[in-house]
Amino acid sequence: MKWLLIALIVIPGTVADLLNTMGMKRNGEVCDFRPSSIFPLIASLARNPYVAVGLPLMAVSFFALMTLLSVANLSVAVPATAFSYVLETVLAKYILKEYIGWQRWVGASLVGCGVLLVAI
Amino acid sequence: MGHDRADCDELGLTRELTARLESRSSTATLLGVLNNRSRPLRLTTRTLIVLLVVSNVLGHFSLSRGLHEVGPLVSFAPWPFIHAFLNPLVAAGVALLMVWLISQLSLLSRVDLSYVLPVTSISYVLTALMGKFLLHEPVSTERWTGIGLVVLGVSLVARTVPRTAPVLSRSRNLP
Repeated sequence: MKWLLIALIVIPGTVADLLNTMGMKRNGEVCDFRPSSIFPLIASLARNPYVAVGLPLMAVSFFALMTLLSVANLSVAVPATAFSYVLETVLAKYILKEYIGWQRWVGASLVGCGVLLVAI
Repeated sequence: MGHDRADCDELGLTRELTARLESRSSTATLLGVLNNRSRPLRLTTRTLIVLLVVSNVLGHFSLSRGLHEVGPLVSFAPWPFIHAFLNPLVAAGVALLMVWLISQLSLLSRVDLSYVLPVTSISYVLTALMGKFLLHEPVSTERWTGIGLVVLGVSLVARTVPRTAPVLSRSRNLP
């Protein structure tokens, strides 16, 4: 049960971030933040197939985290989320073709370790 | 903010920089620049990062405070959830998390995922500091160490070029 919930946090959360990034890169850089442009932006996001799949997956990951926190304590849940910093950096390199230099590798690892220590 | 194109083109900035370098120097230098150079970050991108972090921290804070006041939600009927929304802290938390979502997606449209994730993790530090200074929670040595590591990691990633990912296809704002 515990491992199932951890898988339900990490896998949909990671896939959601990748899909949202792909969808938003296809959308083009968002630069108009006047209140009148926010609703057209939301409408265009709803029609974006990547984001339309990514957001429900994000919700799955969020509710799995809530459930895990209600049955186990934080020390079980946090290592999984801390690990995802490194996992998502690897996937960003190979799937999103981002350039990951040593600063990003070291930075993501430090952030993962730091999050682990802050939350425990 | 607005449609100022010059303020809206993270990829254009990266391209311009790499083209300038490619024309006169070796690949090693080019990679050095992509890897390590304090780069101007577009004003709106910086604003989005601040907005994302603040709305994330305050949103989770007021949502958890509010839900604590409301009590446990164990029901499949909609009424307890509607009742929970009447709590001003819950409503404020949900509104702030919507701001968070929009700014997260807008930020992802402009810069790399591997830049956004580490840089916005500074919200863990803000949450811990808010606990210390507003709620007077004790902060252990482990937590201070963690805060230090996150700050170090964020400052390393923040020095890299924010956008290296290629355009995937249709893109309104790029040539």
